[in-house]
Amino acid sequence: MTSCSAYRAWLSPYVDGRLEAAQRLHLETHLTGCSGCHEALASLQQMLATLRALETPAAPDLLPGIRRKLAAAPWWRVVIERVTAPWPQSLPWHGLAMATTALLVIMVARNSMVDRSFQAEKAGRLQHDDRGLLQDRSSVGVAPSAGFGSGGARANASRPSDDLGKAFRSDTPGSGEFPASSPSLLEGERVGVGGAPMLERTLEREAGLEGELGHLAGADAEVKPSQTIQGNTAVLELRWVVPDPTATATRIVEWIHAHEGLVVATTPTRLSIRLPHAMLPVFLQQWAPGGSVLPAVVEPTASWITLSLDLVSSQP
Amino acid sequence: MSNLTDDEAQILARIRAGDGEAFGQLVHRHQQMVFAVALRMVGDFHDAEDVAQDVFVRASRAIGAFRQEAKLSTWLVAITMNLCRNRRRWWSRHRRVIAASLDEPAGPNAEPLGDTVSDPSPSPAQSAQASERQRVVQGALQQLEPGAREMVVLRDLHGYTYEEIARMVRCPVGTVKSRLSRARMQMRALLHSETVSE
Repeated sequence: MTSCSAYRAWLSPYVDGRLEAAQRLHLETHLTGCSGCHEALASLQQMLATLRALETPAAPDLLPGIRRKLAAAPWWRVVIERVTAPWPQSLPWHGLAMATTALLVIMVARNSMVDRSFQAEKAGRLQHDDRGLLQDRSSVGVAPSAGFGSGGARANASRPSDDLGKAFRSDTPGSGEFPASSPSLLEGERVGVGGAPMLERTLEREAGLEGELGHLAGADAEVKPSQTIQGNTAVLELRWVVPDPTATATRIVEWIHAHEGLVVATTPTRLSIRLPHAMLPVFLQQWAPGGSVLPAVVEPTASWITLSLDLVSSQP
Repeated sequence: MSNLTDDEAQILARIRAGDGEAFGQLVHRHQQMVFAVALRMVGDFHDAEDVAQDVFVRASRAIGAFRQEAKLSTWLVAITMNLCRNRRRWWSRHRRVIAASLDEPAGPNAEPLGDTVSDPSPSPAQSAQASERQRVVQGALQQLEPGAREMVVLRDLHGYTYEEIARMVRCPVGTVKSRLSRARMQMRALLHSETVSE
């Protein structure tokens, strides 16, 4: 049963003739038997009659003030009005706008073409060497050292994930320099000189090293044998298979914080960890599946370790 | 499809061609309505005059974009409502209290606003009554929240349809219906309390 308050909500559209037919019939039936609602309707109609009969105050002459305001428009507004004015008033301004736009398009296209031709030229210079590494043939002309084996242990020559590298790249002055006598350097690689962009060195694993890296005591460990050096920071990519990756990640984060390391969770199960070199064995002993400790495969000159740790579930 | 009369269409075309006299005709035809709406919304004579001038300034700049899907008067009132809202927001940021005062001499001839009526020859009693009605209604209007005030001003004071109001304030017709219903209930309560207190 509809209450009086609901009926009274219908009174406004009713007086405007905007009530649906069924509702109108319902309301009119109710009004015949409800004095309260009938009075409310009468009150509403009286109010509307009063409002509609209200005299309108005479308006002052607005034109002088309008002309004053139009004349006082700032120069930029005048320009906008001219450009947006209807044809043909806007013709010279449209022409100017079109010419300016055309000029900008030409400049952008030209820059884009120059950039593309430069990239193409650079790509033409870059070729893969015997080990699948990119070499810039314009500056390097020496075959890789025979001391490095390839086997199945293919070092990752590419930069680790950008967020990792950028987050933890060392900015120690002179960090781009490496002693030319280092046996780990590939021949022909360029060495950065003070202020030059950071040099990435790729370490090749000797024959059999992949076995050490990849085989940890414990059934579920899996380590991606990938390491790069950036300045005095070694970047290590690890992939561990654990029963509960999210929970493990959370505990690792807490541990890192407690041990004054730095950690960023790029996803709930992918961590970017920065630790002092000396802490790496401790970390691995604590967390690596099976509790194994990696051999000292990390470049000994690195004072920091950046770990890109990917935790995957062992559950099917 | 154009909603303009032939005469309006002609004036519009002349304005677009840069005819200043045509623009003057447009102002004279619609200034009363624009000013009245502005006055009901802002409650102050000089503010309403300022708003009304701004309406036509804006209209002159946007006349090229007017698509003639609505009547010219509807378009001008929509601009008026926008400017009233902008003014209200500006004043609320600057913490000014807008108080309707029909008793203060604010009209161009320093007469109280309540005396500025369009009836050319009212009797003194009728004038007094009209002034009092103006004062009471304007006072009640200013106590409504702005959205409700828009509904009462456009529908009950100026007779726009639900569809026209919906277009002007940019909301669905159903919203207009419910807002208007609530606004009228509030208005009735305010006017009733004003009557009782007298």
